[in-house]
Amino acid sequence: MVDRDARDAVRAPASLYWVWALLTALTLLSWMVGVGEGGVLDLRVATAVVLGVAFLKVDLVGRHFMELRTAPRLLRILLDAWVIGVFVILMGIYLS
Amino acid sequence: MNSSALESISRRKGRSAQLHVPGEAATWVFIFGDLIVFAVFFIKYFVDRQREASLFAESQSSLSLSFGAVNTVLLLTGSLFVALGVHATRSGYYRRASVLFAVAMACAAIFLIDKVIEYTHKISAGIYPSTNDFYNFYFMFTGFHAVHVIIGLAFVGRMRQMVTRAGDKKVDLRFIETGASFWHLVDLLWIILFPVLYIIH
Amino acid sequence: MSYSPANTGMHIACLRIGGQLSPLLLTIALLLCARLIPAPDPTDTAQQIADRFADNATGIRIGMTLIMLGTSAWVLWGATVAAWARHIEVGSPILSYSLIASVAISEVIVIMIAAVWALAAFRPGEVSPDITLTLNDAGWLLFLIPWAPFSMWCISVGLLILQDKSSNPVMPRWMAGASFCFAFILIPAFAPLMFKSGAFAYDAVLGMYIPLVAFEGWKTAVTVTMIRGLKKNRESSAGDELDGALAQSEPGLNPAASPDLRVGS
Repeated sequence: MVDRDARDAVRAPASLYWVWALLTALTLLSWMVGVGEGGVLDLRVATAVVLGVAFLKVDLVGRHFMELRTAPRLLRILLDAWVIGVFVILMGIYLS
Repeated sequence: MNSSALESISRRKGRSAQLHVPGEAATWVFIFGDLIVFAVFFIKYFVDRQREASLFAESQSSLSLSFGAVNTVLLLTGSLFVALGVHATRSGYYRRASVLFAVAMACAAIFLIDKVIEYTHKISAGIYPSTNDFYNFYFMFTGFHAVHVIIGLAFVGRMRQMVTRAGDKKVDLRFIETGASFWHLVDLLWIILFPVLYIIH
Repeated sequence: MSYSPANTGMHIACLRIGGQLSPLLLTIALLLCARLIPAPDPTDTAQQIADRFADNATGIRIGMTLIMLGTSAWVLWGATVAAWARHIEVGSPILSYSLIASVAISEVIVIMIAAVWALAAFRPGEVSPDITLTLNDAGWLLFLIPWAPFSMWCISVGLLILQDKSSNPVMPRWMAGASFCFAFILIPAFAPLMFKSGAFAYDAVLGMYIPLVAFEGWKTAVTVTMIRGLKKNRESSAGDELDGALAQSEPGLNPAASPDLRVGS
């Protein structure tokens, strides 16, 4: 089958676990802001934070789970464009 | 443009790394198409929300943030296990991959059960998709997303079946990666849906 | 072996007529003549709807006539895609047969929509406004709630593209991803039956405009990629034919394999 050295070379990177932990922590953070434990943040700032964090999480999922770091740059650029574009548009509507 | 045109050799940090398209070009056309459609969904939601901000805020307060957050963590965990499963498959650890995919499937199943519980709560409280504009968005968006979860579950199920039955033969890595990418898309969409529907007011 | 039928010119013509000319005609008919887009509000009263049909009765009648005419080209388009399917399909041509059925189903649906709206514009104001209201609703619902056969059409084409093992596939593999995506985007078209207001009603972005644009977008994508693919194959097989002819003119040398230009029976 596959030899030992080749196996080790393709072992799952530890970064996957760290990214998962970070994503979970960010989810908890958003939840806390949502239930009002975020302190006396101005509502619009809180929204920007929660929404911004969400799009940041999307980017992390894309880069690490979807393996875009080792993919042709075009895919990363397209995802980043979506992330930034949609965030800007939504915040623009929210603040109008 | 096809996958081999996209792929090329590059030098990163002194090591040469081959660029790789997870799945194939068709996979990513689907993913970006779905992302664009959901972007339109989100924009429409925000536009309508501006007109009826207080109604939306009031209705939103009846949603359970805990359910939403738990569901987010479930899909994130599913993504972790799917990604681990893909790596295991590439390395030839098919039995391990099978278990990893099974855990991801369990996460999806629990997500769907949660959804059913949430919907049942709402409906027994007399809240339907036609009750008002907010609940319309809530049921329709989460429902459409749930369809994605079901398809993602089916994909991972098929992936698990493939690695379980592979024996000594090589599995179709392209299909495995396509299924994994679709799963991550499902996760990704919920990551935005949760704050948009449950938190932001 | 690549797909390059002897009547490629006819293929391209059918794709253009059914996939480019016909949608243009339908757009002019619906948008400019009938002016039924932007769509009426499902919560309008019967009198309001009847007035809309009465005010533009002639325009609607002309528009529906054009739609009936323009839709007739769909069979040419569908048949061209089905012919490709039959050539590349592995095993018994199940999906190819389903493509033939799909174009028939979709054409009939569109004809029914046009017929219903034409009926509404035949005697607006003379009959009870409730009748006009119902016919208007019928048109919109017939437009949207039978989304599934259209999705099936997209999925079948997608599956066929993935099956295509020919050397120069007419449609690139990424079109399969696009086809599946379009099939998915049509799903919300079930919603206008459930809601008369909101984002998923028949006058709303998510309930009507997205499915409409998505389906036309898919047809256009198939048309453009297939024409491009057919043209490319025609050039390269003409080149092969030339090579074959040259080789054959050299005595004693094996002629280069000339491509089989007879599309299989």
